[in-house]
Amino acid sequence: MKKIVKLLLILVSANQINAQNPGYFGRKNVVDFSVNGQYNLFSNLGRNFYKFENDKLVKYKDRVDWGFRVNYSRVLRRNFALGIECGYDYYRIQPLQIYGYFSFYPTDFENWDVKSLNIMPKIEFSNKGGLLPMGISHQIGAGIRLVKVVDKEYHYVLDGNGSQPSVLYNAIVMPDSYLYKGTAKGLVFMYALNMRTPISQRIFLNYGFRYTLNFMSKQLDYSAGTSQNLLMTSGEYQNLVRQRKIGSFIQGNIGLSFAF
Amino acid sequence: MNLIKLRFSIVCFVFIAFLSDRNSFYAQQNFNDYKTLASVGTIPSDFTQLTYNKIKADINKERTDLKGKNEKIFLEGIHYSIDEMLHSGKVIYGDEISLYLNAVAQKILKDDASLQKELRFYTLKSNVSNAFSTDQGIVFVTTGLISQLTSEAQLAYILAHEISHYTEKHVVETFDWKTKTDRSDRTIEKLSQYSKEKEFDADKIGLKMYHAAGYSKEEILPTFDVLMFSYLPFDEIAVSKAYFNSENMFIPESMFSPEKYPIKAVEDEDDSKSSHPNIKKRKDAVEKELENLGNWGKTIYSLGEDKFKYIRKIARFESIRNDVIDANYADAIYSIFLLEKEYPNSIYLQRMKAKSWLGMAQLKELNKLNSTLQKTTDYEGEIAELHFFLRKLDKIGLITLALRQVQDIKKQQPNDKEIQLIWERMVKTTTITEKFDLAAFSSLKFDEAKIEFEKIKADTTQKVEGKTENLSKYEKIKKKKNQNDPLNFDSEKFYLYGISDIIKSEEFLTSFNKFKKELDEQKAEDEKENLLSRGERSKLNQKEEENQIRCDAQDLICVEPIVYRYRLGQIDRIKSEKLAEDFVEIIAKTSKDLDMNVTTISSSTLKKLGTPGFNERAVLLSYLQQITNEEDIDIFPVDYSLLSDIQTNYGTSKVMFSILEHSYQTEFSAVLFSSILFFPAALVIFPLKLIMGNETDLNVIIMDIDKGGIAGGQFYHYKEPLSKLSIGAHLYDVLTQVKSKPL
Repeated sequence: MKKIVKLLLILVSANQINAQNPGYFGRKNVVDFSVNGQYNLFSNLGRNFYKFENDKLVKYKDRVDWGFRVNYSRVLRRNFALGIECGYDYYRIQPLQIYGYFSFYPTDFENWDVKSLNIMPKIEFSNKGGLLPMGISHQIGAGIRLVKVVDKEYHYVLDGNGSQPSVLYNAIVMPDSYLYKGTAKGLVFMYALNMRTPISQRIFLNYGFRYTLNFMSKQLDYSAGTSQNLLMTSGEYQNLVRQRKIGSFIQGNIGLSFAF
Repeated sequence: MNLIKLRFSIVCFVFIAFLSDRNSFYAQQNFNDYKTLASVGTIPSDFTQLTYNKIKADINKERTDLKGKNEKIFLEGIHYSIDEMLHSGKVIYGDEISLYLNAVAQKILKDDASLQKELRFYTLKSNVSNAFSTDQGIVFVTTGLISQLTSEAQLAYILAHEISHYTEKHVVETFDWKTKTDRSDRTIEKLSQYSKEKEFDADKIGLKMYHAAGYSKEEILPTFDVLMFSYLPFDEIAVSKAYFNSENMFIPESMFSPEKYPIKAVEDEDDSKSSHPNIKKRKDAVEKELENLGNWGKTIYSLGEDKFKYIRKIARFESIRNDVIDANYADAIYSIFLLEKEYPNSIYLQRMKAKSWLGMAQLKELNKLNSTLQKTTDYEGEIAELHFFLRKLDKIGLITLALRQVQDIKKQQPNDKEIQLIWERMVKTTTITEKFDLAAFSSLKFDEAKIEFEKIKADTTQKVEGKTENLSKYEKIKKKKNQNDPLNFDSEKFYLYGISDIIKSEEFLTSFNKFKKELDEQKAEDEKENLLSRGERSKLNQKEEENQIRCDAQDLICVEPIVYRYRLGQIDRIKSEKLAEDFVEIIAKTSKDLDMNVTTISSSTLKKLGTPGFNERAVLLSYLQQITNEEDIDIFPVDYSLLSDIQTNYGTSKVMFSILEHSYQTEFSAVLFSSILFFPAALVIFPLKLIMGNETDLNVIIMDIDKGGIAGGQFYHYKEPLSKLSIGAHLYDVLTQVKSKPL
């Protein structure tokens, strides 16, 4: 956190060293609000997702993730800016069918909603003729990702013989103690191609694409995973999150930006 | 309603032109203090009406026989090409030549009131001898053509010929022929044949008009001679071998060509690929027609011979300016030589001469002069001798001669500020010229050195040798290099004896040393830069880049933004013009936001600025043309005093020129390829291509009238969609820099 505050201070103090850069109609700061979404190309491959509907677990294809972000950037040169963004991504992970904990198996679980908080300093640059914050910019960032399961009621279904479709069975609320409550930490590296199209002298429509590389930290709280009640170890959880993010490495975003 | 307005404006224009015509006869040019031709009177709607409005009006009027798409293509083609010319800064209206053209045309059209109203006659400042009419009823005549004519009747025949093209709708007919003829049949020969038929037609119909106007039969055939030889200067007089000699400079005859260069043009040249028949064919055809017409008039000059010669003289004076703009300095010198006989004290001729010599010296310094001179294989006529001489001079020779000439002009016009500035730039050119070493020049004049040389030569060789035999090797070398030593006299190096007075002059030495010091300082600075580390150099470059257009200016003149919007690789003229209008509007708004005074002189503001603005734009465009013709040299403005007036009028010396180009093109082949190989990749590549398809280039240059030349430029290439805001943001950036002090 200290580092982030430091970075913000640097950005604000850049005002003085940057007198020669007029920015966009004299405005050198920009705040972007955007929603992002992604089409899950790979997450559904060889895997079933279950959602809870009418007291039953229903199979479905998990196609779209979404999130939102806030970014602040400070233009230092016509084609160079520094920024910091933070935002939440919402997606789902599907716990694997677990054998061993229950007397009836295999077992189907409702997918777990996961939210991840991303905080990322980044640089923005455009080609030589660019005039940031307007127009196309390339963004490169590296930051941290904190992933946590959303605290709510989840369900499961015990499928005794496996011959009956699981939807016939009523779903049962999962005991709270079965959930993994730890936070998975990870690093995220990002490249984005973003466009800010001016709508007025203060407002832009921003849209673009970003590609991310996600690494989950190895130093997770493994002790939590040793609990007999948990459905999966923290390592398994971390693995699912990583798989999920690797499978959805590209996302689009759209939103509004305000220059000042 | 629009039609009525248009007609009304045409009638008004003709009426005003008539009034101006009456007045102008009293406002005669003083050729000793000639002022370049400028437009006079109310600005005609041809210049103020925007092109897309002209096209719209023509489509509504159903002016052509073409229909649908073809009519649109035709009207766009003719209007945009002609309007480009009208706004080039080379076309003028209401000036003495245009009024004269009008007056001659009125005589030809005396029985056709409607044509009198329809047609407009404008002067085109160009040394190419040409006249042409357009489908919209404009007849252009170049100053080059006027300068070649020998009578008013000849002009009348040429105008009658052009009017016939208009009345017979030859432009639209040719377009129609092209669109209706299969591409395979549309060969150059066939097009040439078709075009030549139209020329014969125009000769024939024009002849009838000419006859009806009462002009003399005797002037018809000489008109074709004018056309045949019009590529040569307006007179054929040999440049005297003593022309460049003066009190201090003597040029030996050996520097001039021993031979004469015959004129090569022939009447029956191959015209199989020409738009016009050869002169012989035209003469033959016209001669046949002459026999069919009786009762010929005797008029050669309906407006007076003096008036004709006066107008022709204006055209000849203009030809010098055109040559200086185009860096055809040798041709300018030849025209000055021809006109100087009558006007030896003309300050205009003196200034143009000084500019020409300076220009030649600057080009020679960069080894670029020869590209502006005639090729040895093209030598023709008396002017060839001048080209021969200039080509033969080596670098130091030409620069020394130029210095001599400019110095002599300065001596003749000691109080002229413009000549003083040219002289200073001339001195500066000598300082940057490699091997231009003052020590190499003799303090003796050519004839003095020659006499000394002859005297010593007359002595015995033994005696001469005896004088040097006791010297060391190094003293002998020094002695050989010393031009003051009569023994080293070499008539080929005549120029070393040509500035003996200048190298002793205090004024010259002060200037020379000042520029030399500046040059040395600059060199030292450059050397220092070479020693910088990569990082330091990059910082310095960055600073220089940042300083490109920073000029601490609150006021700015913005000249005619050039705007092109491309669609499928072609310029979308209508959208381009509308964007140009937006551009002007954006500049006005942005400058207001920044509290700057920016005056835009462009097609869309001409209505408001009127003729003064039109003339100012012409002067600025001429200067820009001059700069772009020879961008490597520190060009001296052809219209220096007019530029100074502009500077005074607007309170600024900073002028902005801009070019905006936009296209949208996406390479979908990559998307297709990736789709075939791996479909999901197309989902990434397709949107990328879609977003990145916009290509916009904005180039801005700031010209400094005061310091001369381009102060700096800024280039933007960006990929966001084109909008008023995106242009505005970039212009905001430009104007902020112009307003800022250099770092």
